Amino acid sequence: MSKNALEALIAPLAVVLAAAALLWLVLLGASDYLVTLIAIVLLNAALAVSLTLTNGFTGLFSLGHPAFMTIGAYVAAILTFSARRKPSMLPDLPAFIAGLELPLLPAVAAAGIVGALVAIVVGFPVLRLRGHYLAVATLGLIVIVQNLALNWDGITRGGAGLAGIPRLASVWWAFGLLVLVVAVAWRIKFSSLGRAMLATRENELAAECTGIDTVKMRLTAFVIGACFAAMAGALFAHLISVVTPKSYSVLLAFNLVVMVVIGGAGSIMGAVVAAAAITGLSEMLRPAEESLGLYGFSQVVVALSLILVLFFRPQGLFGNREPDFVRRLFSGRLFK
Amino acid sequence: MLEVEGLNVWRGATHVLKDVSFTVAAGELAALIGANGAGKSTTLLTLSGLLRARSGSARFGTLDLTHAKPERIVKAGLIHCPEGRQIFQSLTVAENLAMGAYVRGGRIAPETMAEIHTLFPILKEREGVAAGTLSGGEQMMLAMARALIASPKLLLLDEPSLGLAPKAVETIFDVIEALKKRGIPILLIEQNAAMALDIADRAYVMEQGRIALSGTGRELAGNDRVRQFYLGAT
Repeated sequence: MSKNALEALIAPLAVVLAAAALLWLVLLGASDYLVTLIAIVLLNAALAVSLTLTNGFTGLFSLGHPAFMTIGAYVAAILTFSARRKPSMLPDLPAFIAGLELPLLPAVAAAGIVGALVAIVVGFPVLRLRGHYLAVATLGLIVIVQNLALNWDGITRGGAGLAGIPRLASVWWAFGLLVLVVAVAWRIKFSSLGRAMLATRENELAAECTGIDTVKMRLTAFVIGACFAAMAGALFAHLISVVTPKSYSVLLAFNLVVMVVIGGAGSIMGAVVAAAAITGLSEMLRPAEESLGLYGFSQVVVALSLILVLFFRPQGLFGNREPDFVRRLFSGRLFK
Repeated sequence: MLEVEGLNVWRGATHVLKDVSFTVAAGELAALIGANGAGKSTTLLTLSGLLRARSGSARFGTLDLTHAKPERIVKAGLIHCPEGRQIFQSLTVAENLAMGAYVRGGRIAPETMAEIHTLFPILKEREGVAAGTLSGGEQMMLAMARALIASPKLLLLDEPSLGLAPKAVETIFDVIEALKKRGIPILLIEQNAAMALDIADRAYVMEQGRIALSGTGRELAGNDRVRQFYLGAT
C-alpha cells in the first residue's frame, strides 16, 4: 500500500518539477513587470481553484473570497511586520504580537487558520439553510471585514492601510501555493470525500439517503476554500507590500466566480486555465484602456465573455471534469 | 425488525402522520399503499432520519430511528431508495454505484458488483456514461442498485414504478421479487396497488396520515374497500 502510494506520487511530482523548470526558464529573461504579472496569475489561479472547491464541488455560491483574503492579508502582515515599528504604528496590538516578527511561512499558515475559523463561524449557521443564503451572508462578510479594517485603527491603521509590508513573497511562493491548492483539490476530487461533495451538489436527497452528511460536506468545502483564500491574501500582501481595506472587493469576488464558471464549475484545470486567461487578458487590455481612455473596458470584456460562455457552453470549458490528458499525466499513464 | 409505534410527524404547519403504527418482520415484504398525500413518503423520510417525528417511536433492531442521524441509520442497514429516480445526473453510472458504498469508504466488493450486474445487466453496459443520459427505467434501476450496494438489512422503496414504461415496471417488479426470495426485508410504497398487494406478505393502507387497514397482501386484495378505492374494481 505505502509502496503504491509512493509510486502514485512520482508522476505528479514529475509534473510539478517540469512546471517549475518551465517557470524558471520563463523567469530567466523576464522583466520585473512580467515576474509580478506571473505571480499574480499564479495566485489568481490558486484562488479560482480554491473557489471551485467550494462553489464547484458542493454547488455552494460563496462570494466570500475577498473577505477571507483581506483577513489573511492583515493577519500575516501584522505578524511579519518589523517589531521595531509595530508598537508605534499599531498601538492597540497585544504586546505578545507586537513583539513578534515572524517569517513568511508561519505567518501564511496563521492567516489560513484564521480564515478557516472565520469560515466556520459564518458557515455553521448559514450552511444549515438550503438555498442561496450563503451568497448573501458572504457578501455581508465582505462589508463587515472591510469596515472592521477601516475602523479598527489601532491594529489596521484604518483607511490608510498597511504599507511597507516586507516583500517576503515571490513568484515561487505563488507557485508553491498553486501547487498546494491544486494537489489538495485533486486529492479530494478523486476520493470518496470528493464524490460525496459532488453528490451533495447533484442531488441532496439522494446524497442523504446514501449516508452523506450534506451539511458537513458543504462546511468542509467552504472552510477549505476560505483557508486557501486567506493564504493567497497573505501572499498578495507580501508581494505588493501593501494592503488596504479596499484591496479586495466585491469586484474580485465577481471575477473569481467568472473564472470558475468559464472553467467549468468543479473543474480544477478549468479554473487554472480560466484564471490565467482572464488575468492575462485584463492585463493586456490595460494599455488599450489607458491610451483610449476607456477605463473599465477589461471588465466589459470579462462580463461579455461570461455571457458568451453561458450562452454557447453553459457547462464551461470542461464541465465538472478534468481533461483526459491531464488525468493521465498526473497518474503517470500518459502513453498507455 | 422494524417497529413503528404512535408516530406523529408534522411538516411545517401540517400534521401529516397521525399515530402511525406498523411493523415489518424479518424476511418480509410489506407494502404501504394509499392515495397521494396520504403520508407514505413522509413515513419513509421519517424512518431514514431525514424528517423528525414530534412524538412516537420507530425502532430498527435496537436503533432508535427518531433520534439517530441519517448516516447512522444508513450504517445500520436501513436503506431508503427515495421517490422519483434520485440519481447523481452528471456522475457516471459507476460513480453513482460507488456512492452506495459511501459509508464503507466507497469500496464495493467484487461479488456484490457481480450480483448487481446479474440483477441489472444494463448497468454493466452503461458503466462509464453519465447517469443523466439513461432512460427513466434505467435510472430507477440505477437508484435501486445503489441502494442494494449499501447492503440493506431493510430496504425502503418509494414508488419504484412511478412514471415508467410497462416493460420497465415489469423489470422492477421482477427485481423486487428476486430480492424477496433472497430474504431482504422490504417496505414498499406503490401507487400500483394491484402489483404491490400481489407480492406483499403484509400490507397497510394509509389514509390521511393514518393506517386505515392492515392485513396480508391477499386479505387486502380481497377487501371490498381496497378493491373499490385502490384496485379500481367496479
